[in-house]
Amino acid sequence: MKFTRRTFLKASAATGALAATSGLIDQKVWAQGQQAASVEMKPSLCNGCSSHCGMWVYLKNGRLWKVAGHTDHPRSRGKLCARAHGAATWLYDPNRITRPLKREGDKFKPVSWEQALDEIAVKLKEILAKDGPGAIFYGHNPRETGVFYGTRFMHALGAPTICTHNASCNTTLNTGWGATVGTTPGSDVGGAKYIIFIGRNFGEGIRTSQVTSLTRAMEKGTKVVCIDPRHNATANLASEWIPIRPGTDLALVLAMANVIISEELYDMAFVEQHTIGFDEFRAAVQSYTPEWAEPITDIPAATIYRLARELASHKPNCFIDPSWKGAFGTNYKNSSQTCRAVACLNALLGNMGTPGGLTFYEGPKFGKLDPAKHPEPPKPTLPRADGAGVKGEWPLATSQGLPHYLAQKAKEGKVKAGFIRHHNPVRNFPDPEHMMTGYKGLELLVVFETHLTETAMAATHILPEPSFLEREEVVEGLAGKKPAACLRPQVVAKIHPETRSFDEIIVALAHKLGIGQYFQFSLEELNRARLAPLGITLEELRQKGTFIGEEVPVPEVPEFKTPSGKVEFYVAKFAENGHSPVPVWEAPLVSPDPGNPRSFRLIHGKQGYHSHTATANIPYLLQITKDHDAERLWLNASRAAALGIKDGDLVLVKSALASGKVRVKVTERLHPDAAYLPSGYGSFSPYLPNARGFGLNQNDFTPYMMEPLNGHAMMMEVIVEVQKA
Amino acid sequence: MERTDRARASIYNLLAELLMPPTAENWEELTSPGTAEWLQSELAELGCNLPLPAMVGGEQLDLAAAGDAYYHSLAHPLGQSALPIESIYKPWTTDPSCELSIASEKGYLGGDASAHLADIYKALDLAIPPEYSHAPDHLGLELSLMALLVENGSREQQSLFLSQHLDWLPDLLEAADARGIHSLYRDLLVFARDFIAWDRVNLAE
Repeated sequence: MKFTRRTFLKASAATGALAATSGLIDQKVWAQGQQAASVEMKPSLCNGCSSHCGMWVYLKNGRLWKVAGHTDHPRSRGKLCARAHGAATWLYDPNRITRPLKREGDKFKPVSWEQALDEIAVKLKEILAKDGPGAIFYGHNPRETGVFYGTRFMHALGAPTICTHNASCNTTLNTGWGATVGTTPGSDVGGAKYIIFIGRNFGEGIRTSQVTSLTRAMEKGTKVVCIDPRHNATANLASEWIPIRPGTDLALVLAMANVIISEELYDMAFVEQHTIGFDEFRAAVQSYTPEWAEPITDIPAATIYRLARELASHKPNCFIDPSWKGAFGTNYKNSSQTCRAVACLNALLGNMGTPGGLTFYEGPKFGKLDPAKHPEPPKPTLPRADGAGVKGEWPLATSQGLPHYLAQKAKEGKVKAGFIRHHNPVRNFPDPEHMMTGYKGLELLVVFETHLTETAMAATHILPEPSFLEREEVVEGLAGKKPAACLRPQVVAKIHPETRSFDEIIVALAHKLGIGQYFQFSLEELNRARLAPLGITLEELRQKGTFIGEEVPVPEVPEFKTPSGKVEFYVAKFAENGHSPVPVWEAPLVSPDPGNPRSFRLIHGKQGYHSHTATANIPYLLQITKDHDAERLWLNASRAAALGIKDGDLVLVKSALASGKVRVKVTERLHPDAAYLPSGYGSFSPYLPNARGFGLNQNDFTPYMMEPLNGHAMMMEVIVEVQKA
Repeated sequence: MERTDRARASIYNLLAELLMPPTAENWEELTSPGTAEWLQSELAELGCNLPLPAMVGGEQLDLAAAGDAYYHSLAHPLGQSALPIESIYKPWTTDPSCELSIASEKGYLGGDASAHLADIYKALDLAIPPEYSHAPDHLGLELSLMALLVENGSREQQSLFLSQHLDWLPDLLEAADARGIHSLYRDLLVFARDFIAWDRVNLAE
């Protein structure tokens, strides 16, 4: 041998073993032996979207073999959607981040954990000394592990700014429902006799058990009305689809309230006993007749009368779904008031806590760590960096925060450091240049991720987590008639040894930052403490995955967590901050130019096989898109014909901010004012090789804006021009 | 062991060294004119008429540049390089009972190749570096194992291993070309592919 060898295979008795195992080298012989092995099942929680549906993971010879819905889990009930089958393959994805990375210019260089954590700690201490904890934020998609460890870490630092993705999703629900009834309720789909979905789309923003409940309810005779500019996947199931001009749901709801009140179809006893501000609400909606709403919404007045009367005739076993992002999550300038109006209309039906109405269930009562041994850090008292809840900034914004405003604050030099986990604000908020410039300009941005997303591209340091099947997490709770406790245990050995779970990283960082005293416990101890009052051990939950508790009795009328303890038609704090205290009509910020045949409002929505851009890089799921040409822009058939655009044509989509080309789906299933783009595409990270450059993303066309009431991102306040490319 | 087998084992070991991340321990030595001279003579001894890879004794990269070139060519885990891991280039499993969406797809870690290699190492009590636990079927490890088979195994075992495990280098080169990897590493992969092809014929004779 002419050279020095490093000896990659450290042998002991290889020679003898080779001679003794003649079939060992033959893969065909080996494969036969493998096939005979038995399959074992372990529970987990899917990570294909935020729902964390319960799943069974099947393993053969220690390898992932199949996933299936967990029959006990309230969100899956034995069925998984396509995303679960795709997300499971992250385990073996070769494009994962496997080691800590440090950005140098636009390139990422692998570094050791020690170096990464040391650098982060040194920089953070410098920022804390110079700018204080008010200049630091933590952003995440809030799920239990990130909530527990991230919040504790931030509080230990004295940093108040913890934000979530919700300002680009459904934060108006917290504002609207929160102000009206104290929380965002659920809905008793199975027990309802009449359901109206305004933009709510069970078929695509999917939880399989909800779709099951809906189809079962319909089999029993429940009428389901789907109101949406687009005939979405829920409209496929519904009794009726009513197309509405996008951005005008508020006018429809106000007009329905007008009919229900003026025709005295509401639940007078409920209104009398459990609400405040009804007179002001009645006065406010007096002029909003169906005739007034018809030209705004493009829904005939007669239809509005019929809907209002049908809905009220089924009270209290009916509801307008509280929704999610759908029509009024964070889409328009009037979304917060739309949400308020929906909450008020439901209150007129007296359906709060009734069978077939809205539900106010709570989660399990978890235990806590012993406060004597593990005292909690004090809650920070500084004002939040994103101005949420701060007088003079965004007093009505919820604690879910404003990640797009943080980008602005970073540009202004008022925010210096951020920690982001399982959250991609650079891609999933409007105006990626605004978001990227802001986040990339931070002195320190630490991103905890499995893949190098657009937000990770802005990071100074990326800390790799193992995939969800390779880590145990904090026990989660689910609200329900019977509250559930669920666990995501580690079901397979870590594939990449240099990845670390979020709790491990936070604890290590805390010790380097001198706040280790708040983290003197293991994840296992924490989980045991949480489970202690529930009557199930951690070992049992690791085997079962889902634990359904005893039925909790609920009061006939829920306890409304509002200042008055009642449903508030009139919200004083809105008035105090210069906003209408009762829902009133407010037009969307922008509208298509009626004189321009190329002018459309760009709307977007989820598909049942993608979770925004988070799953776009999964080949199995992307193939579904390709098989169905599902990245296409939808255009209404008559509008397309007027522009000479045929199904499958390539079109140019243009706004003041961006332009891009995409093929078109020409359809009758869309309101003429709208151009609809599915929301899961247009990734631009070069480190997502399957997704990069595939399709368009609505956020490229939409400017950075803040809704006046709670500051959300107004995701659908954008007009585009569409023409044949 | 015959002289020719010693030469074959040494060349497999040299390729394994060159196709793992370069280190100060032996980088200069591996790429030195002396090693080139030695390799030339070993190939001559075998009657294998292949041009030497430019990395050995030809164009020189210092250790830092070599590390960078290696990382961006063969180790960048984010779709930027051609990862030299067998599972990625083979259907994930041939077991028909697997119901995963990727069961018969290429492009993933942890496939049959990976599991088979892990079992071979376990049976032979061979320890692999912990940083390769995700890829027991990494090319560098497979070449090391091939050297070990040449030194200790039968010709039948060597033939089987070449045909069942070291048969994916053409696909790796295709991926390397698609990603435009460093020319020295591409050239080295061409040499590895051609030497394996030569050895397959050699073993069959």
